[in-house]
Amino acid sequence: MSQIVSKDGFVPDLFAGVARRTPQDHRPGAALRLGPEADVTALAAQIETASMIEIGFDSFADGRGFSLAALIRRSGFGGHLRASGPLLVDQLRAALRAGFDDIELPDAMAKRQPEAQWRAVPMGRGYRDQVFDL
Amino acid sequence: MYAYSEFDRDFLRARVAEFRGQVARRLDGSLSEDEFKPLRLMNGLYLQLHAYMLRVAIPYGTLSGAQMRALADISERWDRGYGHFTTRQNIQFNWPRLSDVPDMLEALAEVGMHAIQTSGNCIRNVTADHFAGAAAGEVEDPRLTAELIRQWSTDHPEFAYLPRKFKVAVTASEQDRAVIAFHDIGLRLRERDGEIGYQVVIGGGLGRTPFIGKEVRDWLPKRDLLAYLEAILRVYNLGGRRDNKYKARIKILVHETGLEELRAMIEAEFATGRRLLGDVSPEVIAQIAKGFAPPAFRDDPVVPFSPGPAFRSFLDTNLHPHKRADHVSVTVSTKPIGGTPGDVTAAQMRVLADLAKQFGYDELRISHEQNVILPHIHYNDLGAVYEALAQAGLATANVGLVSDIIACPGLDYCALATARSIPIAQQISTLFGDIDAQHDIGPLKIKISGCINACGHHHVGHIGILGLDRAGVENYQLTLGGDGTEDAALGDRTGPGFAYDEVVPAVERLIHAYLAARETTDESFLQTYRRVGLAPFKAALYGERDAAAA
Repeated sequence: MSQIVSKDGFVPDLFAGVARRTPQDHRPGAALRLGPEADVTALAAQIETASMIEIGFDSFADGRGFSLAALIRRSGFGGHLRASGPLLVDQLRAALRAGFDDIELPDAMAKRQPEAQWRAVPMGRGYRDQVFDL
Repeated sequence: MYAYSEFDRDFLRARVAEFRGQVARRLDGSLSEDEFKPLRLMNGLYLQLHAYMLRVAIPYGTLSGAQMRALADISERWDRGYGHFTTRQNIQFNWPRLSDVPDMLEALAEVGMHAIQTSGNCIRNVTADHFAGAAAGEVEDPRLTAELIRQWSTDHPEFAYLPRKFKVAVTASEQDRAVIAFHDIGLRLRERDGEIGYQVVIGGGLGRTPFIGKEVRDWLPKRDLLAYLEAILRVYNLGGRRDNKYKARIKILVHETGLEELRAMIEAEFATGRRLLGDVSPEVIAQIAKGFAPPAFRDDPVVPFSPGPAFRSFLDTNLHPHKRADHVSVTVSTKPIGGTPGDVTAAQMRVLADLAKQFGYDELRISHEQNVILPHIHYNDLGAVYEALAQAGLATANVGLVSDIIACPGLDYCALATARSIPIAQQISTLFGDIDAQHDIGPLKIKISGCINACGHHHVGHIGILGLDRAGVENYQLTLGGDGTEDAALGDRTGPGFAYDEVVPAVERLIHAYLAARETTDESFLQTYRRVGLAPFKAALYGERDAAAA
């Protein structure tokens, strides 16, 4: 099992029971699951037609997913974007700024990092937004 | 000087509170040590051999008197009354207690300082020419660029969990005092047809696989800087190796992918990113420009003076020309004879703070050579500055000479070290303790690393010393001819290494070989080495040893 966490804390899973498809068996309108090694440029067609995209993180220390999220948002994808993996409370701010809507945490991680910790993350404007006046 | 805005101050306060929470979560078990590690590293906190170590950022090496004074206070209240200036223009406290660190960070935040991104696999504190804004021949103050990069890279959502650490250096002059060829990204400001832009160099680095950086762009318009940096970082974040930490720096990506292919990837990413990103906010640009406006320089006529011999010797080595004829930059050596390179006591920090305030337009710099600089001193104040420095034990006249040694902390502090560095530096410095003899030897950069990670920059030392562990015994390899300037070169290995008690005599033989080989007293060690090559130095090093073995 897992726990969804967003800027509002622990929230119900809007996509519970929705099957994720790999890029190989993607169909327009389906939910797409990408690994950290995904080539966003090569997958433009699948990304454009996905109903939601989930990006897997193998480890909190592997930051590729943050760049993938930024690239997917830059390509114009306006659907739901989810990070799935053992992320830390301290990465929530970066995840949201990079373009994710929420994080799917393994239960063990949700247990060790209770909701209050996620709700306490300061969310002010970031330096990058300030520099580019976004 | 650039003053932190309310935005910066709010950010720092939030980060201190956040780190307090992270320490609490580590202590209550919410975070494992593995998970806490990158968080403490991102806040400058290392676990060393004997204790924690807190590395405080001094962005582009610039600080005010009040900031230097705060460092002195922190070192007395929570550490052992001294700090250690580093080759990345930062300061390290070697003995903090974990539970005190949030209070130390709070004290730093009160003077607009922090330890953010001084460690971890993120974009590290940006470095710049230590004479920025003071030296002649600059296109513009490189700190305008460095501060913009500081803001952009701080807490950047994409680039906090890179394959490995990432270092950026900026210079604005043809003379490279910022070692741009040995950074992940090196930037050189240049002017073309009245427009200011950059030369961009990537993939330089030292460590176990040293590389000289390669030019990826000979011209980048100024307004495109951050979009281009984002393109480089994005390509690296997605493409850099994560399977082996020793192959994870961008230098390996450049080497394995090839410059041409990597450049094409960067340019493709840049082309899209640039179009969609927009320009840097004019308010941000204006605020930074205001922060680095030159001080109101005094223009009293220069009064000639006749210095005594010790003062004369100080003037010969410790001054650097200023863009104004009536001012000069003064380098304060942190390398007294037999001392620990880079260590400065709280009392000395206060003297430096006072001098900056009284004579130096309240500005100080830290150089990558671990010295402290008063960048703007009027000629008429040199006598008073020298007197105060001499009384504080800060007037060693050895800048650029044999005893102005860069040394990493080595086995005396560092958990990674395989050999001692500081004692070797102290012995060399003591051996050549006579300042007149040092002046006779002339410019010579000795750099010592206590392990293959090369924090002491031995690859770019005119004489480089690398301390290794050979079956439990310290062994020191020597390299010659390294150069971190615009004539970038990696040192050449001389041959087999030397034991701990053999290496200082070996360095002495190298210097005698140089003195014998130089054509004139004006020919420096490096010039002589480039002219005559390795052979005479090898003979001096090994001839004797082979004879003894025979």
